[in-house]
Amino acid sequence: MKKKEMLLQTFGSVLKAILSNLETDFFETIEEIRIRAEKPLLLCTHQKEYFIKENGCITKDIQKAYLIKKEDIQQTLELLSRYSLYAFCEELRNGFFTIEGGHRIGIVGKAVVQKDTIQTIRDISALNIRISHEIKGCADIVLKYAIQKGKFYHTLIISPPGCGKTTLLRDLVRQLSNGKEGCFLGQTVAVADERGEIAGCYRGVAQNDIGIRTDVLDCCPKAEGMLMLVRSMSPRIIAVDEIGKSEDFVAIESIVNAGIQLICTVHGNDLEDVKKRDILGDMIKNGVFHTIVVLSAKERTGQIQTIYNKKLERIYSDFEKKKEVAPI
Amino acid sequence: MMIQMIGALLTVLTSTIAGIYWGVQTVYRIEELQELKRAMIMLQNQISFLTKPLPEALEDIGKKTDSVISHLFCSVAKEMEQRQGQSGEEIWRQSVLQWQNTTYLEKEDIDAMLCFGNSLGYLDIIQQKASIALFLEYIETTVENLQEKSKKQMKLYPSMGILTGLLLVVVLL
Repeated sequence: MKKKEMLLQTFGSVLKAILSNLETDFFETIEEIRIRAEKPLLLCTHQKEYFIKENGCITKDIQKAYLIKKEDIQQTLELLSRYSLYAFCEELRNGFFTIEGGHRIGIVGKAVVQKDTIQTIRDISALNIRISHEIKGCADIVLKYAIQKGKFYHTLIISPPGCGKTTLLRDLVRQLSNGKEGCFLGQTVAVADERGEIAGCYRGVAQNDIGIRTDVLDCCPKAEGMLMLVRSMSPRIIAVDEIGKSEDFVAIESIVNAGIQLICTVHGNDLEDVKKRDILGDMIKNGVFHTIVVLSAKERTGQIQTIYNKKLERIYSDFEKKKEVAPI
Repeated sequence: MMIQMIGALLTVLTSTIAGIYWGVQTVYRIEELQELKRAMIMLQNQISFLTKPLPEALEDIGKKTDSVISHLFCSVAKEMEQRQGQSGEEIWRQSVLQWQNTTYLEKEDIDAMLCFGNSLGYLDIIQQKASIALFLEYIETTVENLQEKSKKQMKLYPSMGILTGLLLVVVLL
């Protein structure tokens, strides 16, 4: 089933009718769909936002935009949870769902708190649907530096939020898993997909193309997941998204010691920002990572701003940028 | 004389069978309610222990049993899988109303089922379990009352049938 049709199945009947009138080309450029109770329906592309009228046409006039009703949100929740909101306690506690296709739906409402921790969210008042886009080939530049003599080495991706690091990670995993004729052989890659965004598994099947030699552990806490994958799937490469907790680094240490290569991503503005962090900063300074990629979203999502080698020397820079990159 | 005898016999037989038929309605209704209770308990387990999504749980239960209840569960599961955009409540309501004529259940049973449907799929796990528990309570109470009623009816209706038959014979002959 096409991506648009699959995504539209998540919405209640009214919203589905409105959104299905959008042209497919335009739909492909949408990054976020914002649904807020009693506010206009908003679509956001990388740089612009659009209001939508009830007939599905784009408008700049707020007055003509379709106002979301509470029932629309309720129906959408029923459909995205496949009429089983009771089965999504963990997701409600964390504040987001991942649906087929790897798209992420964030929710807000009234938090129900017990002993200072959020138990669940009730009276959901807004949804933010972040649409995942597969961009095959976006990892080509990274692989040029990360692979030497046919072997892949530890790679770190630093990125601010919303800059396409998961899309880049996905393409890296796919290419490493499939291999590239004349360049490198495909290898077993294991993915600890804590939030289900990388593979976008639906009923056990990865919706995104992540390669023929890839094993996915879906919705499992990263640290435990990584160690399980090492024991069970004997991977050559392990991929994780958004490392940050101390237990993540403990697991990473075991992996590095086991001789398994690592691809990981971390939130950060640039290399300087990440170097200040405790364990990760030390790892970077000690040259653990063979390749460090910094992303930015200044011109387009997934724009690779800079690539550094293990000595933290800049080996690639995006010349389209106007501002000078400060030397390390 | 012979024809009259045969006629009389047939009349008594017919009214006896009619009597038994009315009595048996309640027995079939009890059977179906018990089948419904079993299905609901299975649903409760699927939801509590496996946290299976509703359409899958309904389909599983529908396939494991083979009764008029399983037809309902399978048709609801199929509608839900279509994901046309309707709410869970609407789908349940439409399916139950379409299905009610194929069963021996009475209006109050159907109403209780529709009431259960109001809370389908939108509640958190504690509320969902409570909603099923409430429906199960209704079924248990109703079955208890009906079983008592049925005992009396199974004695009364066939006898009424025979007597009515004899009465007709006496009156007509």
